[in-house]
Amino acid sequence: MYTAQITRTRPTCIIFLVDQSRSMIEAFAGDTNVRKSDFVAETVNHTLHDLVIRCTKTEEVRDYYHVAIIGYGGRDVRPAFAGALQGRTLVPVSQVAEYPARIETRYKKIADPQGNQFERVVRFPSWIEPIGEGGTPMCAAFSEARRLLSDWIANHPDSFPPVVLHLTDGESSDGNPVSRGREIMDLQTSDGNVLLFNCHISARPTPRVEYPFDADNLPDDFARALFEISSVLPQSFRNAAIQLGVKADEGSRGFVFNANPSSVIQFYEIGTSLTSMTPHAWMDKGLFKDEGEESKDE
Amino acid sequence: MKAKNRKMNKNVNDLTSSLSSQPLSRASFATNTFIASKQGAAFEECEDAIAADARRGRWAIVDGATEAFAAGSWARSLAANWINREAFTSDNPADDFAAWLRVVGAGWHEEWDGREMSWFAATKRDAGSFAAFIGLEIEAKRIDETKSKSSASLTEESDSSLVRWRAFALGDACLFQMRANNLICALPLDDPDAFNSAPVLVPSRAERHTDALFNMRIESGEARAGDVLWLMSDALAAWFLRADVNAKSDFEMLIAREVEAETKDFLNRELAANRLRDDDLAAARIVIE
Repeated sequence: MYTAQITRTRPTCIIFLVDQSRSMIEAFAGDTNVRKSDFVAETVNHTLHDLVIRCTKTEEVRDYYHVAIIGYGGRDVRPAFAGALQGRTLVPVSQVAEYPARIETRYKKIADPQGNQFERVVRFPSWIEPIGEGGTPMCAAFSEARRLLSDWIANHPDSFPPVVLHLTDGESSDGNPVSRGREIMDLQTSDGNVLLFNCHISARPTPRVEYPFDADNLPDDFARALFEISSVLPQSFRNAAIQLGVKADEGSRGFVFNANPSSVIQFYEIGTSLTSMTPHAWMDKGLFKDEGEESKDE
Repeated sequence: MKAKNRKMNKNVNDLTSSLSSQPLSRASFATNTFIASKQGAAFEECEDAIAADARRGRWAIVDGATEAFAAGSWARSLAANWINREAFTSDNPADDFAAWLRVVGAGWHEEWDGREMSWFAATKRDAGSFAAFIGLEIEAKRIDETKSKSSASLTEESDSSLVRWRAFALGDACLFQMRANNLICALPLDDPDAFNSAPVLVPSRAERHTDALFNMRIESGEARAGDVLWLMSDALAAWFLRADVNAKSDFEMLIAREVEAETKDFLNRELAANRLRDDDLAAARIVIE
């Protein structure tokens, strides 16, 4: 289980479910400068960047993944791709590569062993914009994810199980999401059940709970509900978590409650680790907000 | 220890004095190579590279990282440049290697850096390429046994056929030294279970050289006539360390005969039995004559 090879003929599917309700324009707890919606959009964009680069083989992008981004807010559940991919649901990663909505360019200073300094371009493509308006139709969002997955699995019955990465900052405004979440988790390929991971972020300074294996330390019913609908981390995801320095015992669920910015980043890194691919030693972790460079949009 | 060595040296001096009128002969090296891409991949997609020049006493096997930009191209560049380079003559082989790598990396990037390409290909290119590397050089000039560091050489079968080898290893491509079916040296890895981690690799970008080369192993040793030195990329190396004496022997015979189809059949059976991982495969067999 969770061992199927991910190949061009047998790709897998990743769905980003992103809360775009009004409260997302508030800042993270304890940090008056970083709006949740801005940070989440940036993190999702960076995750997509990493997925594209992972699939890039010299000058072509291999379709190891089909990707959807579903935003929900107001009364609305909608595909969240901006630019040329607007309105598209599941998109092969080669098209994600081909059609970013924007590419921002910065310059990074590099020194070689002889001390010669030079600048190299660093590119920041983006596919979604930060949005925060209206209520939180979480149940409708889960239903839409389930619909997409159902169709996709019918065409890819033996693939590595799809992964749904859900991020929210608050309670559902259209009912208890537990039964819809379970419906997603009941879907399966021959390699295992669909994985649903949940990351909750907050504007309130309450204690963080990361990848718990039981609901004991969760503060309220909403947290317990999200725990119920968070899949246990398969071994390869646990390994990725441990490599990032995150405590993930056997039986840990893919669930973070009251995440701070760095645990949001880790959530997406763990959620997209997927395989036992060797870590990308060259992926410059400092790509976020490097200081002191000029910036211009392409 | 000192006293023991002096006594031994006295004996060897007695032996060699009678031979002193004969200059030590130059060794020669028979080389056989084998390379194959992973299952289902065309040969053009192979990211392993082998280079061999027995006359110059240089061999290399390089295994480009699958996730890296133009990995096969970087591997081939490193391998070809290894056998064509000037000799390393300074007292510090690590510095010699670093200087050599700087030139090779810069030359390789000249080919790629100017090209127009998509943002994602350019991002990948800008990070540079990476490869596991095992480079070997053997001096054809035989060593005077009295200068040998190895006290094991002073046996009844002692002969003046020793040659000195030096290996540069970064990553999980390996050198194995066999003497009469015994593995007497394995580097940088000697444990078949050690092959699953993500090793440090040789980067093409200059700004990554210092950190990567900090992990390079540079080792010297001696070999005698009849010894076989093997270079292998990781999947074959791990298989070799686990294989029993018969399997090793069967494999060696196939490589020595240079029968590609039969060798592939043998390896496909090992693959089917899960004793060999599906990956590009490269081996060089060097016999000291």
